Amino acid sequence: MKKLILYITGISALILPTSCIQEFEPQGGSVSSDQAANAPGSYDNFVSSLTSAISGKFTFSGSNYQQPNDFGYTGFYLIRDVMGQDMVAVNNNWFSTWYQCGVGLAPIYLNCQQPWTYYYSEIYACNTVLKLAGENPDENKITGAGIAHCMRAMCYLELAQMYAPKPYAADKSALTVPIIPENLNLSEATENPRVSNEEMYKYILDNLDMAEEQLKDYVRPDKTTPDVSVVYGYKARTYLLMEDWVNAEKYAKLAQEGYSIMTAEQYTDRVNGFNNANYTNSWMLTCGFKSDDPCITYNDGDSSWGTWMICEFPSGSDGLGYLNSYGGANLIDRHLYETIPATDARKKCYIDFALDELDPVEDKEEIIEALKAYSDVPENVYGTGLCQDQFGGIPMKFRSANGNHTTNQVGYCVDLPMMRVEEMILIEAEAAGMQNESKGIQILTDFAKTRDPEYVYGSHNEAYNNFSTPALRNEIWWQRRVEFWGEGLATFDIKRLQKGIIRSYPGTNHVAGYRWNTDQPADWMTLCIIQTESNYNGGIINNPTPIAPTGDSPEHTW
Amino acid sequence: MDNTKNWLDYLKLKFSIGQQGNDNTSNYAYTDMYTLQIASPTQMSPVFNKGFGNPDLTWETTTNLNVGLEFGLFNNRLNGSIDFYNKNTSNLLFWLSVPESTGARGYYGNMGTIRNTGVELTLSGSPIKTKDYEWYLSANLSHNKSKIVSLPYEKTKVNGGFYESPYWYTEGGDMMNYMTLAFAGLNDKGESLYYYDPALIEEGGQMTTSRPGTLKSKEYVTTNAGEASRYLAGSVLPTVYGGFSTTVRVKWFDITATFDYQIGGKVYDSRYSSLMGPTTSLDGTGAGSNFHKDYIKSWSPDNTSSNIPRWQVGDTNGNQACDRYLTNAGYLNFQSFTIGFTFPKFWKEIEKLRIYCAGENLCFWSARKGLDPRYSFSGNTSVGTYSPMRTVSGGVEVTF
Repeated sequence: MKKLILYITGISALILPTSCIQEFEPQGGSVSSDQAANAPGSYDNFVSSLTSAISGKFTFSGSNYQQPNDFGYTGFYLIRDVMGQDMVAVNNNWFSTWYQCGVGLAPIYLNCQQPWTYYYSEIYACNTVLKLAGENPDENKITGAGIAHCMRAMCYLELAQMYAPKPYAADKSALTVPIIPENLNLSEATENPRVSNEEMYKYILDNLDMAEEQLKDYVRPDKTTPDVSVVYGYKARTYLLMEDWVNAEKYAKLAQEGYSIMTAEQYTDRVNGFNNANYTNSWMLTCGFKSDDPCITYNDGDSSWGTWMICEFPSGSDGLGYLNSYGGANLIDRHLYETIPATDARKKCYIDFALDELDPVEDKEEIIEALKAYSDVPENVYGTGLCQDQFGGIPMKFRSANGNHTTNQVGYCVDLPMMRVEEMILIEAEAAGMQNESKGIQILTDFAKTRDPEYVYGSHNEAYNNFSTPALRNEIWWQRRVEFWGEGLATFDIKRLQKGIIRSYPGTNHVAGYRWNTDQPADWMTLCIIQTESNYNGGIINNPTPIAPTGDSPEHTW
Repeated sequence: MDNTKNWLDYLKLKFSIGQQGNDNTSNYAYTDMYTLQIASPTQMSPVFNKGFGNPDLTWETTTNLNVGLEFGLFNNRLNGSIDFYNKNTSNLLFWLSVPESTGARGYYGNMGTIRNTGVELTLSGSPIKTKDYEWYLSANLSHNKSKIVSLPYEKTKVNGGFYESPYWYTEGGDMMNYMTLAFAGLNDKGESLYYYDPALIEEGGQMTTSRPGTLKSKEYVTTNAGEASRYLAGSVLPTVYGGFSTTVRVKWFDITATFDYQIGGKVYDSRYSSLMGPTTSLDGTGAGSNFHKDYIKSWSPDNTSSNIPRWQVGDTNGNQACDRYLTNAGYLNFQSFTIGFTFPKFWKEIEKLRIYCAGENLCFWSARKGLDPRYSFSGNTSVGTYSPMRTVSGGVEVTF
């Protein structure tokens, strides 16, 4: 009997006091969702991630791969702008897939995946904030919810323009992308079709309406978070795309309140030009790069805006930067440059193509003398031009931070605009002009005279193969191309106005083999949906894979 | 058993059954994770780490059933064993993909059930065994067959299965069923042709490559790889693999050689494919990388019977990943040899004196010179790993 009791005690001693599961919390740089939710100020931390993580971080490739075209929101400016003709991606640089209609645009490739991952990650972050805020956020959560609604609307607006084969005004039923509401569960996501332009724009406007309401009393600490003027700005952009001229004009006017445009001197300033959010009162929403961002600290800062758009550092064998030293520039289209009158201050933002007539070695002194018109360190710019084997078209618009011309990683810590008041003025001009032409011409002329005192309306009426566009819209489009060069609006405008692209013309600086002319927006301006979506989401009908034209087009005569 | 006494020396029957668990995924897969990034000097913001947490994640369990037989025959001149096994793995830990628009590409879940069955056979014996002459042979052989028994419905409801590059998983199918574009030869201009299945063209005109095509016909071929369908190429696992060795002893000489081999199986020869395509960019960037000398055999108007597409700079479709490069992974490896000579005993103090020469990793035969399919389990081979070095050594062995 004793033995039996002993056995029973022994066995139960083994079975009964089993696992009290001890939960270990991560102690490294990552946190679990519980830790994040229980941290002090956790809601505000989540809200700040919507705007602070939008730039400067590796959002697609991660810091162990450090892809040079993955540095956040501003990377997409370049990805989009090289698709048309205004920006030339030379020497097969990291944006050449989008410039050359490369194989990587097909749904099985990494380049196709990049925009999808980026924008839907941002949407997920917005949804997280909205879930935490709840249906009716209380007063300390309401501005966070407003910011989330605004950023979410921005993401969907850009996705809709990138993925819809035709813009809203051309075809309301064209398919855009799936909408992910904040309370979607995973099983619904597997049967989530793309919505039409009509439905998407209604969703965007609903989000902006909520943001407008929730941000009405918000005073923002700096320009990296949207306030109600930015919401008006996004509404203006949305109504412009919908060709709702009355509302576009109304919101463009509201958005301008409290801002003043950059003067020509400020635009071309060599120290603060286009790198400082607070230098002028024209930038409405900004993002930027800070010295401790992964994109600046890793990979010599070569996965950042600065490496592609900022030069004026020493080149040569120790030099850094794709534009500055490695010969991977994104140049301005020569025809666009030549249509800018010499009296227009913005012409000074790009190096004259006449310098390519000189011999780089023999005429070195002459070239450096000529470069003094663009830079305080012409020897450095000369070095940059040597790396590209060309000087003409090198962009000087974006300057190094604080005039630093020695250290790339310090100079790359710049602010960049996501929206500026000049765009609102031009939206107002277009919207007012489509209702009353002379009013539009007046607003446009007043604006253009700030850049070019001798501006005369009527000299920039180029059709780019769409002859049905009214002259006023062509003129405004030209202003937008020059004013916002490199700021991510070029391809959106080409699609909105249903323009063709013209890369092949006498004297072109486009790369041989890729000098294509089209009658309507190029096929590759409509992105394909990556298979990590379409394989698991049965509702997706994908866009056709664009096929690159086989040879240069015949030259276009202007 | 008396009547077997003259030929059966030893017979053992084995049977075992057991269960093992495996939880080897990344840590914290049960909860959403965020990385912290600096928002401002006083604030860290959490950024979602793109993998959903799954609170229902649990062990995968393998139930292992083994039946075996060991025997010794003919006065232990022939020994061997044969084992059958059946491993049923349920709640398989697997990365389950979700549409990327949800904010992440997937999460770890318990996928379904797979079953591996196989047989292992070992035989060894000496056909000749006398005082001065002996010949000893040994061989072993393994064969494994895997089958997916069940999969979660959410994964298969859209396409009847799912594709996680480069394999196709469907209920009742193999675990490693390679799925890729199918090469259809060259057209009369020397361009590569790929098959496509018209049944897979969806609304909107886009070809779906998330499930395999079934129709392969010369009527439906395209030169544009983006319009081609993927097809199943069959399991990449080998039919049999194993080794064999032999020892021969003639008076004072002894020679031993061992080999290992694999019959069947496929491996995607990615290194060869990267050396067999021209530069795909027109402005010459990327030029300067190496070519394989087989490029001379590529199609040209003088050489129209070749199966290698024409060598055209800027051609992005000619050398796409397809079953052309799915190579037989069979190999024969001469692993080691030893030749020794034992001196007859001539000196009282020395019990045994033997000189020998031995070597390892001597010779390797595979489907193509330079292809070594042994170093990647997933079947894609690149030249990042070096094949083992051939070594030959010699020595003297003295026993006192």
